[in-house]
Formats: sequence, structure tokens, C-alpha cells
Amino acid sequence: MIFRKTSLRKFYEFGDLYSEEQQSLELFSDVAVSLMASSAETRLVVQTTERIARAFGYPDVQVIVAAGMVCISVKTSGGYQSLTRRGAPHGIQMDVLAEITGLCLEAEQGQMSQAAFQDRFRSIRTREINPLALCFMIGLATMAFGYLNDGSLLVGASGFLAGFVTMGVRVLLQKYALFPAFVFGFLGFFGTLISYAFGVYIFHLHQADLVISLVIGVLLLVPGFPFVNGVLDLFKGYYSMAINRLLITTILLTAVSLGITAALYFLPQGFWER
Amino acid sequence: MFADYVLKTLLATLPSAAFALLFHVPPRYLGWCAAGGAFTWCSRMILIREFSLGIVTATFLSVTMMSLAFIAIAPRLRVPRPLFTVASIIPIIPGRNAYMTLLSAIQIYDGTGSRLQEIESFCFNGITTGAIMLAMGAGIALPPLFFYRKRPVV
Repeated sequence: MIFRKTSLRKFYEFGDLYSEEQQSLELFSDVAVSLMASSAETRLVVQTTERIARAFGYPDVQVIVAAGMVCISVKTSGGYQSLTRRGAPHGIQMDVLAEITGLCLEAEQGQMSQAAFQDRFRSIRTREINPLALCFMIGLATMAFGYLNDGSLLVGASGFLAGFVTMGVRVLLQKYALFPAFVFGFLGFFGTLISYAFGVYIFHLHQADLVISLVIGVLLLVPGFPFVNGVLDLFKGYYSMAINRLLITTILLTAVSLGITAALYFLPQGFWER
Repeated sequence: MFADYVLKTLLATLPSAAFALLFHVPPRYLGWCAAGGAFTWCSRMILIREFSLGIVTATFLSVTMMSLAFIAIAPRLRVPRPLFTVASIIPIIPGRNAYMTLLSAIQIYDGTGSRLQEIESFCFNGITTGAIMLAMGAGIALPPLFFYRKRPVV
């Protein structure tokens, strides 16, 4: 929605101009919303959007980002125009972030018109990852975690299978667009049980290795991005966004902890005793 | 000893690359993420073993060095730093301490083991986990504040 104080006469008088400026404002807001959706840190959202607006002839631009919303204010021929949009993180899409940053740099260097920018921006899509390759890579990562945490080769093998299966379930659950806290809680539960099953029934791990196996089985659930973004926002003075992101991190960690705790009640009591 | 350094450093590339893939980092930058993870792990290991630093201090210094390295590298590649920095800290996430905190909390509640010992374990592992996480966050966030006071981040 555009908030603009103008008379009807003035609207008709500057009809074409108004429309062009309105389109620009919508484009800049789309950029900011896309950056927010791809989990960019707040300063990057603000800075990139402002730089794009300046590159296309709007030197007086302000971008305000708060929890769940983006507001852009641009000085146009008819005064200030503002546009408020809903903007929330929607997965982690670093490829989208990299593309938009590249477009921003090209626009600043005067290498493209606004129309060309708009066309290229609208054609940006996040890359599809082969689920099998992703599960395999996460399995390898879990295996590596096993060795890095002083586990044996068997821990690594158990971790590989647990990581592969847990990631497979995560990919499956994400297709149903369930709310993240539930997905993380369930995966904490499932990951612990499957790690225990692989460790005890297939690889016959002894006590110390079994604990490492359980630890690495759920490491893929660490919400690293919201945490780092939260800390970055905190240090850069975007406190409301920082609190929002750190709260998301806390909720996800609590969900994983609850899932693990629930799973441990299904396992033999005190198996982890040191 | 040297073989252990090399092997662990090489293995640290895997979690970084895998998580970078999960974060949809473009394939041409996956190598940088893997290198960042290896550098962070290796530098922390050296600081702990050779310089006898505590794990929190070593984590902060290694993440700071990694962050500084990407302050230099990322603008040349014309991409923002979080593409690399977040994936690079994945190998040093204190999963074991976090898990031990949780296990201790369960045992305190259940009253199965020695409660005093479990409270001690809960506090020690909890504080260690929190301190390492804070060191990681501060290590990434602080260096750019000295470099990007006026100019843009890319």
C-alpha cells in the first residue's frame, strides 16, 4: 500500500511520473523483502536497498527494518513516498543474496538501466539442490564431526548413516511446510533415536563412543544462521531485529532440546553415565 | 601429531562445505567456505595445543582471524561476507558441551546420579557452551565494525 498525500488534480498532472516513481518504490521494496527472505543481516538489507535506490536516481532514501516488516521512504517529485511491506526470513538463500549484491554493484557502476535491473531481479530464483546429494554431504559432515569430537572410525560410520537419514527426514518434512519449531523438535527426537539404533544395533559402540554418536547425530540441527545474524544485528545497533533473531534461535534450540529429552526417555536409563 | 593436525584440518572442510550447500551458497564459493572451516578449526587447535590458550579465548581469536581474512577476500569476490563466515564456524560448534548440559539437566531432574556432581557438570558445560557461542558471534561481528564504519560492506 502506498501512503501519499496528493490532490486528485496533482495526480492527473503528474500521472506518468507518479506511476514511474511508484514502480521504482515497489521495486526497491521487493529488493528489501527478497533480502530479508533470504536471511540477510539487517545492515546488508538496509545498505543494499539504499545503494540500489541511489544508483537509480533517488538520493534521499531511507530503509527501516523491524521484526516482520520493511518500510521504505523515498523522496520523489511529489514529496516523500513510503511503502511498508511484510518481510520475514524464509529459509536461507545465499545464492539470492549473492545475485542481488552483484546486481547492486552493476547498477552502481551504471552498467544497467532500471528496466534491465528489474528484469534480472525478477528472474532470480533460488537454486534447487539435489536432495540425495544434500543428504550425502550432510552425512559426510556428520562423519567428520565424529572424528573431530575424538570419536573412532565406527562413530564416523554411525554418524554418516544417522546424518544421512535425519537429513532425509528433514528434506521430507520441509516439503510439507510445517512450522520450524515442530520440524526441529521432531528431528531432535528422531535423530537421537536413529543415532542410538545405529550405534547400538549395527556398530555395537561402547559407552563413550555412543554419546559422541548421539551428539553428532543432531548437530545438523544447530540454527547457526539466525544466531550469527542475531549477534551481528546486536553489534550493529539493530536491537529489535537482533532480539527477534535470537528469540528464533532460542525457540529452535529449545525445540531440539525437548525432542532430544523426549527421545532419551525411550532409551535405557543412564546409558550415558560417564 | 602433525598427521593429526592435517587429518583434522582436512576433515573440518566437510561440515563447512556441507552446511554451505544447505545454506544455498553458490557452488563456485563452496571451496572458500571449506577453506574457512579448515582455517578456523586448525587455528583454534594450534592456539589450544601450542599456545595453551583456553577454548573460549582460542575460539574468539580463531574466528576473529577468519573474519578478518574474509574482510579482505569477500570484496574481491564481490559477495557479502556471511556467505563464508557462517559456514566457516560450523566445525567448531560446541555440540558436545551442549549435549552434556542437557544430559546433566535430565539427571538433575530425575535424581538418578550424584546430584551435586550433575549440578557442577550442568553449570560447567552450560557456561562453556554459552561462552564459546558468544566468542564465535563476537569473533564474526567485531572485526568488521572497525573496517566498515563509513563505507559499504561489499
